Amino acid sequence: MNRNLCKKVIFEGGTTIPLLIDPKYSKGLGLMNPSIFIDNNTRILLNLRNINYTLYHCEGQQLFNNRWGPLSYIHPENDMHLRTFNFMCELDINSLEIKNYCLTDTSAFDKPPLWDFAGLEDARLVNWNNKLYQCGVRRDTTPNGIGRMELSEIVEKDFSELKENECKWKEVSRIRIDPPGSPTYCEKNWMPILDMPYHFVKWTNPTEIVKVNILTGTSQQVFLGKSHIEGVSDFRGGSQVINWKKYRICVLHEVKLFNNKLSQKDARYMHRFIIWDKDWNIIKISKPFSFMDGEIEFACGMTIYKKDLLITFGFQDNAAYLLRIPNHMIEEIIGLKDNV
Amino acid sequence: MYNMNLNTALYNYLMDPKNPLYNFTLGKVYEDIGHTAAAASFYIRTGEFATEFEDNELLTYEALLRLALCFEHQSSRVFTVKGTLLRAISLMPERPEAYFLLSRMHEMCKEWQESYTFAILGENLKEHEPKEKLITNVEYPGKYGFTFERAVTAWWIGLWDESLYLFRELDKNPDMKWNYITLVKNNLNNIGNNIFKEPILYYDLYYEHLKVKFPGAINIKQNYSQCYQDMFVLTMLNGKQNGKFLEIGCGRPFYGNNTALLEKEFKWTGISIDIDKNVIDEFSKVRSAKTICADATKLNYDEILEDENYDYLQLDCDPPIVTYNTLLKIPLESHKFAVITFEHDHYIDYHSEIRTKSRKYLESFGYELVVANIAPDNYNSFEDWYVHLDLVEKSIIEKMKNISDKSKRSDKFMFSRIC
Repeated sequence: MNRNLCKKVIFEGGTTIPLLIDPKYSKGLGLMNPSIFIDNNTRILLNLRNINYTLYHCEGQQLFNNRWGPLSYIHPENDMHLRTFNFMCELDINSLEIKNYCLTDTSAFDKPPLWDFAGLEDARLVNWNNKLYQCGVRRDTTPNGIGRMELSEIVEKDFSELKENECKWKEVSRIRIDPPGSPTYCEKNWMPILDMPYHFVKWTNPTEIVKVNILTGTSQQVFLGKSHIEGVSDFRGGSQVINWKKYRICVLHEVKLFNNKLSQKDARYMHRFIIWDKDWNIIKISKPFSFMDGEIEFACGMTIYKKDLLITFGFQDNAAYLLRIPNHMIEEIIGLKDNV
Repeated sequence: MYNMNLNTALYNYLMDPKNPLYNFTLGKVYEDIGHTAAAASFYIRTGEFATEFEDNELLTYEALLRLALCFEHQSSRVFTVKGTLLRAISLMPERPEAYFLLSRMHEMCKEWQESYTFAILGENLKEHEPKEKLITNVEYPGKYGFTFERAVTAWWIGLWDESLYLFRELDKNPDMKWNYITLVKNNLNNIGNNIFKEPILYYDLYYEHLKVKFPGAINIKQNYSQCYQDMFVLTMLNGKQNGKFLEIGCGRPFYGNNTALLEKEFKWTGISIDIDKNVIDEFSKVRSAKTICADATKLNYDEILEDENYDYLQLDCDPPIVTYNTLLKIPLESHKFAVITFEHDHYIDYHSEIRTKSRKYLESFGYELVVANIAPDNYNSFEDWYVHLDLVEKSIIEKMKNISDKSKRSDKFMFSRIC
């Protein structure tokens, strides 16, 4: 397992770029799980998740756990909610750093949260039928935290139309998606398929694709793969599913959840690339890896830009980065050459 | 090293992500640009890896301090700040920084007793400037930081005298940083700079506890002085009747007055001087002593003093430099005073000039310091008490002498035990 993909990429001419906004807007708190998207081949957009907590995770021998254990969410003591805010950003086309940004205005649909996790989490960016969406999970609409994927359409206002303190990006519609089949507790990390409007890879092993009816907010299974890969953990969602050469690819994560001797929860995340052919047969899966030696990392954005592969990921829920993988490395990195 | 930009720090980290110093550096760069959550991640890693791979307790300790500062900056993460600092203390209990930050955190939370306790624990450490320096500034100002926290919290747990004394001591500290100077001055202004409350009075029921039971003491129902000066004079002169005094800065005729008891109960006579006309007018109506309303530094004492020797000289003007300048005007070469009480107000004389100068001056004229640093409490030394060796019995001097540097609460000093 490669625990430091970024280093390997840097040695081959790639880069790792911190994704930052002014801390007066983030309050210095976590900027995480960014999702990158090339908008109509003209500009690079990014959804950057800002939360009101700091993730405390001890790695290594875990000698310095805090009072709640090795993994805990350090939220304000006067606010038990774990709140998410989404900043829409535009990246500089040369440096790939964030050049401008604003908080997404969700006021038209906001309601007081009924559960501890408030806001749209891990939103991926996708453009379907000329509509730009943030699609992520929301768990604040019921008192028991039922999670459902939501599609939030966002539109951009001209600066000239903006009033003082008004956000540039505004949510104009919100669709909560019922999963197909029997009711479940929490649906999250569905991976939007960029070239198939309103289709998601809901599950990867075996591959399950669902199509969403945006008029009814329902979804139906439209594909279920036959092959099940043995000997791996659950493949959980990650980035968007993008086209690359004759394949579709994504980066997804596996997570090992466990408790220590005090029954305090802990987790370790790994990532893999998945390569499908156009008929949704899994051609390759890469070996597991982490980006920069963290045990908790999460990628939910990927795109091709100037033939290079760009992946955006969060580190321990506290920091966000963009990894640019040079074109000549892509086959190797995504595991096309692996025998896995 | 910490001027490096984020990209450089990130690059170093990526080349060796378990290197504790690279983790620490990346954390510090994030912290410096205000991203404290990101910084926290790398400080936690620093602590783990510095311990696991390098057995570097000091770097781990510093990472924990920085982690606590990050959470403190985020605000409303008090439990985590305290827990992190306690862990730092448990790691290096001999170092001062974590005690200070923890005391400060408790103070911010208005947990006065806890803050006071950690300040005292920190104050009592052996080393306040450890030889092994931390890499970064963790906001620990030095030992005076503990004194400051103690001063603040002492007030809120009802130790007002201690609080005032500590703030005054801090105010004399030339090494304090500007922000502490401002805080100390503000606190002094807020809590008041006056150490004197009501006079500490003697009552007859305390008689049994007097260190020296001079003749006539048994008949004293109550005295008047601020801090037992009248009882001291009578003690040193073995309850003398018909004595003579020169009282400079007499103040009110009875309340807090040092000669009222002498005049009323022991038939003393004398001269009382004050610059305040209202005081002198009131004084003249109810007291027998001759009064002079004047600036004591401008009087010709050769003309005023009718006798060669006097039994008591009180010197009590404001500010203390006036008291000292008045002392210089007294013709000590031609007149002797059996007992002198000199108010140097050391508690506000930040350079100890008046106390030092007056001692030297009076000793040059044959006066012996019998009681140094009398105070209304355990902290605020404001007066020295002298006798002339030619005029006071040696045996009494021996019983009363105490010239230690420590402030002496006047009633505690005059009694064999506190009543």
